[in-house]
Amino acid sequence: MDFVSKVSVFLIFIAASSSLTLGDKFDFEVDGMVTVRLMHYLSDDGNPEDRGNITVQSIRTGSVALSQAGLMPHHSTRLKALARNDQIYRLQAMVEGSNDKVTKFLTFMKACALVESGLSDVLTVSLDHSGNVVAVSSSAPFAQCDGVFPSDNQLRFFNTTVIVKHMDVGPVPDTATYIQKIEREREARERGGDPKDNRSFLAKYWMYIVPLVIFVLLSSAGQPEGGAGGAPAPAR
Amino acid sequence: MMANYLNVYNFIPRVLLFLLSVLTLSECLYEDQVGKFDWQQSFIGDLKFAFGDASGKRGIVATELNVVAALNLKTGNILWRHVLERDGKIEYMSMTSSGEAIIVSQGIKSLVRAFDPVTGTLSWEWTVPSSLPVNRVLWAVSTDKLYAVTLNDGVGFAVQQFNMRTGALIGKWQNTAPWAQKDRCGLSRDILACFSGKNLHNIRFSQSDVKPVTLELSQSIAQLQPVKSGDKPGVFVDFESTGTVKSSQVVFFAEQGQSNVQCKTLSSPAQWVTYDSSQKSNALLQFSQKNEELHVIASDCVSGRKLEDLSFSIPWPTSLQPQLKTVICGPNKDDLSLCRLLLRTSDEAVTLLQYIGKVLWVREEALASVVAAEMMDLPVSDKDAAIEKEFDSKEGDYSALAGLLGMFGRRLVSQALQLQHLVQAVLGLHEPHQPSGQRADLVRDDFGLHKMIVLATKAGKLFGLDNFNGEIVWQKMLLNVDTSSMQLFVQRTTRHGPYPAQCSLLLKDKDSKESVLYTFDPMTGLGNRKNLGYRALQTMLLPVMDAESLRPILLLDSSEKVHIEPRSAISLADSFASSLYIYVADPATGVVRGYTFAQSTSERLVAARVWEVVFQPESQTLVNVVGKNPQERVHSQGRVLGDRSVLYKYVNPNLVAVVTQGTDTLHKFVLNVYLLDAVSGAIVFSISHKRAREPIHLVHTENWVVYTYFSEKWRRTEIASIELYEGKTQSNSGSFSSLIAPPQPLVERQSYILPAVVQAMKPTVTEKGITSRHVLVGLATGAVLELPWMFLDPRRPVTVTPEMREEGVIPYMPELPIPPESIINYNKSLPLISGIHTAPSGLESTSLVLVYGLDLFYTRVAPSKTFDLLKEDFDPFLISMVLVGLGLASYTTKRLASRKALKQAWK
Repeated sequence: MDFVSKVSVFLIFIAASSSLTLGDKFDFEVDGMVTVRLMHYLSDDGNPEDRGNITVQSIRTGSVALSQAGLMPHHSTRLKALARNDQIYRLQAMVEGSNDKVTKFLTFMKACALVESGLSDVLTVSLDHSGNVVAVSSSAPFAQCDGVFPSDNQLRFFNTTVIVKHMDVGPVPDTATYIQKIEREREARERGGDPKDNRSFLAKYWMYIVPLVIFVLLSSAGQPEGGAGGAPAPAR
Repeated sequence: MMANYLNVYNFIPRVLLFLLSVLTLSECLYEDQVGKFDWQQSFIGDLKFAFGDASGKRGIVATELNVVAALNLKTGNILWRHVLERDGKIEYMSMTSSGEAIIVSQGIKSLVRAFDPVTGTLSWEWTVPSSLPVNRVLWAVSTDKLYAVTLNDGVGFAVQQFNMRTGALIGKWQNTAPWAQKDRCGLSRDILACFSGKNLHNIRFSQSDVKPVTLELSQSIAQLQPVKSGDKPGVFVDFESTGTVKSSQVVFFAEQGQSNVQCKTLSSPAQWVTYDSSQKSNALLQFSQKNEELHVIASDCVSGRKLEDLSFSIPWPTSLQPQLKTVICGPNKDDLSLCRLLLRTSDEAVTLLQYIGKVLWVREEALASVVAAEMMDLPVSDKDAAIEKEFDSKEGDYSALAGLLGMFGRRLVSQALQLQHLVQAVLGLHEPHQPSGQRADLVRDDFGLHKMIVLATKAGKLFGLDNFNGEIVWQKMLLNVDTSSMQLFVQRTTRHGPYPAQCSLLLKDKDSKESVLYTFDPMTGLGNRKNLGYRALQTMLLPVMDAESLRPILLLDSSEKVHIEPRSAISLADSFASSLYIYVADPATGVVRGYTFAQSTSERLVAARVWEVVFQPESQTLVNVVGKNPQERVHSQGRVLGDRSVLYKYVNPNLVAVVTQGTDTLHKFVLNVYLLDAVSGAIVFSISHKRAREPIHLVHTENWVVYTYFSEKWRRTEIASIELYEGKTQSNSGSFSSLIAPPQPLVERQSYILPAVVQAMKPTVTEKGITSRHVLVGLATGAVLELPWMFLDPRRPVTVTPEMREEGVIPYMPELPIPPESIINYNKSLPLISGIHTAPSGLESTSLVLVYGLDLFYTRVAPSKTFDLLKEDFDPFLISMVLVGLGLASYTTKRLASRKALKQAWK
């Protein structure tokens, strides 16, 4: 195999914008290693063929080593045929965790999306609370199917990004902060609430008094005219 | 000083905001509205034990649902009812000599209780010693003693004699009986009777040193039931059937100085023994069903002669098998013709039969075990149907001129009909109009509030209920079905013109366990049953309708073959099979698997595996998979923030929530919730709670998931909410595609303490999804709480910023309040809630709610208040009078003013 390409380690965590609360990631008691053997189907029926291997060296940090063979010309022709017929590209992942048990996973994406992005794909390895792999799913980073295929040169090597996704830690009712907040408010009230507001009566309630005065003035000013007019009040 | 001022300034609006939200969001009911929009029906469950009290006015019953109740024998109403412990089981019930109902119930602790039959008050209660193996015990009551006969299979039996009131152990003895086994023995008075082969053994268990007596009968015995009535101890014996011939016999055991009595062999099993005082002998009651009639036959024990004056027959549907639970006679026991028979039928109904042959009442107890519910619109009235027909012209059927004339003719006819209705309405001649043989009032109303509730029950019986009063409109019993898993589909609603509505119920055949589809009209319950001949793994309603406006059902069987019902829809399904996906979750292996139909042809549908996700059974077990309600609509695409920017919702219709319960050496219980895209098989989000365990209830709608669980660490129920957002920009505003990799959603999460135990949870649903959503929570206390989503909002901040206040988010409080005004069933407690069904009405503001469990409760809720409805006290007459009055007054004053102006001009 002459076109073995070693893609360096990718380590990506899903980031959220800072205005949103970001949950803690699950931390495992024991670190483990996961090896994934990838096999892909280049036709709707038939057997899967080898694509490469992924080794998640540490499930804690998510550091990954990838080794994938490039596509042979006849393979890329078959892949392009899949893409042209708007078929799917299936990927089988044989995962061997720390307990030496092999589990089979299956994932797929639109073949055209893989071809048009120039064989770049994102492989997400989801872990459960004890570090076992729950799902291996692939997707294309720019999944658009416009029918424009890149040149054969661009269809030789896979450009795979591996994301190791941990579970988030579930939220717990936050009683402590709430109690602290209540305490702070109570203290603040006790400290500053007791001394009387020593502004004058007018200074405190001017916003009520001024409209009242205006209202009284207006109604008394309007009265003489109304009395002179003597028009009957409209029926209600 | 200034800081303090600011703080108070901060604090007051916050309190006000909170009070305001509590006051405006809670939907309370005024006293005069009680029972106006809601109804409750109480049930007891499948009858297990029954007896009549001494006065003959009440029937005391105990049921499979662990309920003890007294029924008024005149009306069939419940006089009092006690729901015992949730996980318990009533093992024995009998009447004591002083008239109380004594009950032995098994549970975490086995208890002996006695209830007063008149008031239902607890007379006494004591716990059975935990050393007693309750599973192997037969119980019996004599004057004031309770006997517990423990059967040690193949060895013998041990008797413990308790004081019935105090529970004190009085006596204890053993006896050898190698033939004693619980399912082969019975207690009748103070005799323990067992069978083995042809032999019938009996022994007096109330004394310690007695020898058993063995009788050899003519055939080998299959079943034995003790006799609880008559003047002698005895057993009903069913013989093993030879071919199709079944026979049975009644045997009475010897008392002092007498000999055993073997009655004449019977062709159908006897149900009851009664003492015929005129003959001074025991008479047997038998049931036989022939030609839509139930014959109750009384015969003499020894001679087998039919007692004509005690036999009768009544009309009876063949499909219902009756089982006589008790005969209630009241004070004068001698005259059998004054007695009533309490029956349990195979559809779990309780029937009271007057002896001369009249059904006094029937209680449909199948409604206590509802499994699936649906609310269907009623068909339109004839008048509206005529109007609809007017606009429903099929083009191309006529030439242009004929079509025009025809349309004109139809318009004339329909307008003449409308005129006729108007005249009738004005003259008050409104005659009840029977639309196609149904009840007159079962037509759609203006607001779409009147619906038909379709219920599928565990007994295999289907019901159609009028949602205005809970009256049973139709019922249908399905025979030979296994109801352990049932699914109800609405294939066609009533909106589709000349075609009637159609529902389908998927269940299993009792013997072959293969799937059965019962397709029926939800307005009448009539339909036909189809044995599918395979076991369906997964089902799906197609999102499109065929030419007859019917949505076909797609079924995936256990060998991954695809079927479609009706079969004619195969080409329709094929036409968009490339965008059709289905998933199957197997709880045993933890594998969730997705399939595509893209390889289908117009002759054959093919499902091909495209993704597989494995929840390793060693570390977690699948508990529940919850998808979104396909009917729901999301009106608003985003949420407007305080700074006037929009946070777009991540609304993925293919998202399902997978709940697993994990085990962990350190934290014991781990609760995992995965949000899985059912098309692409990608795990969009996953979250794990340590030391959290079942019961887990989950609600999944719009862009949020809410679930409750029990926190093992704090020993309380907590409710967590997750909300998904796409962010400040929307990737695709038109339609959502799971395959065009959507951006990872931003996830908000929060959890709250819910000071209650949850039994069921469901979000409200409205026609267009404009009305805000509330979550209805059924609590173990029997209350149904209407919890506004605002309270569950994961964005509730601990410290409020002005932007947050602008947005109207309530400050965070760890404990959710349960205000009494938000209990939608006010003081009508609903025991053992098993589910809540919500349905939209024609009014956008209103959602219809049915709570089922032991009881049925129906009401309607308006989460955003009834904004599209005039208030009840709105008086159009008064308003028009005021308007007319004002118009008149302005006109007269105008006249007066002009006259005055004229007069002044002349001065």
